[in-house]
Amino acid sequence: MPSKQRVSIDVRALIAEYANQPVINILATDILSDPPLSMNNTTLNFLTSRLREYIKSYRYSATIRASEVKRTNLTVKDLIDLVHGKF
Amino acid sequence: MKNIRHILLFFGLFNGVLTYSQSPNNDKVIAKKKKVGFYEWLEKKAMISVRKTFDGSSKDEGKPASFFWNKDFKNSDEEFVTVDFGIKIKELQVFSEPLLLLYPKFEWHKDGREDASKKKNDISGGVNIDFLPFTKLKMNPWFTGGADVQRDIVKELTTFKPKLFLSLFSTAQGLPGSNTTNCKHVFVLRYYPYTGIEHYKATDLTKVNATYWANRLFLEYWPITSPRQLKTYTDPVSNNDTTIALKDEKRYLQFTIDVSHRTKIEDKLFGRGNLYWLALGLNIYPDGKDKFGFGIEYTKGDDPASNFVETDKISLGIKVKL
Repeated sequence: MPSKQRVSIDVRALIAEYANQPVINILATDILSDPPLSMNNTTLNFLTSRLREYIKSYRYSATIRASEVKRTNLTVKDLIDLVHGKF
Repeated sequence: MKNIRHILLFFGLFNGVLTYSQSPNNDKVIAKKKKVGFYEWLEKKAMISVRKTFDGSSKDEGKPASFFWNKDFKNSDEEFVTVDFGIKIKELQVFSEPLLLLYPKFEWHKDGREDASKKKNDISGGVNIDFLPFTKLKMNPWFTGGADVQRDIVKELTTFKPKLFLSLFSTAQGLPGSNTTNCKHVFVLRYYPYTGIEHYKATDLTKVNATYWANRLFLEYWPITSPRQLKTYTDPVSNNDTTIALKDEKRYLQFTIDVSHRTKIEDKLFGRGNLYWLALGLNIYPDGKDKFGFGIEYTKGDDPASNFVETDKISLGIKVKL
């Protein structure tokens, strides 16, 4: 299973790709749906699918739901904790 | 009319109070716990979202709920108030691979016109669908649609409206669906093209129906923005580098275009030919957040939210993204 640091790096990289931001600009306290990430529901749906694939590459029985990723005021740190908690 | 004004006043005042109580001091580090307001509680605990409309696609989810004062160009004596309101209840994830989401919704679109031929008062309820069969392509086709039952109280017409649209999503700068950013990494542009079929069927004894091939484009552009200022320092205790935000990103002006063209395939319901719709919006957010602001919107064409009533109007109002 990946370490917390590994998960943090991988999840930040995915967020950076979907928000079109440099990885170094992404803070743990940033809310996914608010500026500067500004990810809307469609973007978060696609991000969920990629996260699900990432989680299953380590643990096939685990998964993640779109409603978990679209939770109101979910921060980058919350998402990293959520993904790490799946292993 | 009186009821609409009361609703307008209630939401305007309520949101004004809420915005004040939730605004953080932006000059300080952003790592502060925010107060949980009523609307956040609504989305988080009750799983209810409120927007202007959830009309079959995510394009409108970026549009706040709105309470408008309107002026009709075609009839300069007429001024009226409108309410456009949509509630989305908790979504259901039917499949995870590929992702298929369903969400029940309820919408209300009403205006206070005196002219019965243009007046609208529609209540609708139904289920929206998002289906993502591809996620790893450079350009991912995806589907959105749904089925509603709409009651037009003015025309005393109830219709069943299934529809399905194909759209595109990419993460690459400038392509459909992506968060396109400027040189300072501030999100400034996003757009979605849609093509699909809309079907309308009267639920009364006549059972007449209409089918249109619909093509539409939604675009939002933020021309006036202010980037976030970051500072990295080394924590003397842990000796780790830590990055903090000295100043939040701000976005003050939003320009929206919603244009659609419907090609008639068959229409025994409305008795119309090809239809078009144009909505140009300009929204100002004084505090740089996109939750509350003031908007002006020009709409022209055949209003899809109201059984294609011919419209040519300018609207001023409060924009509330709850």
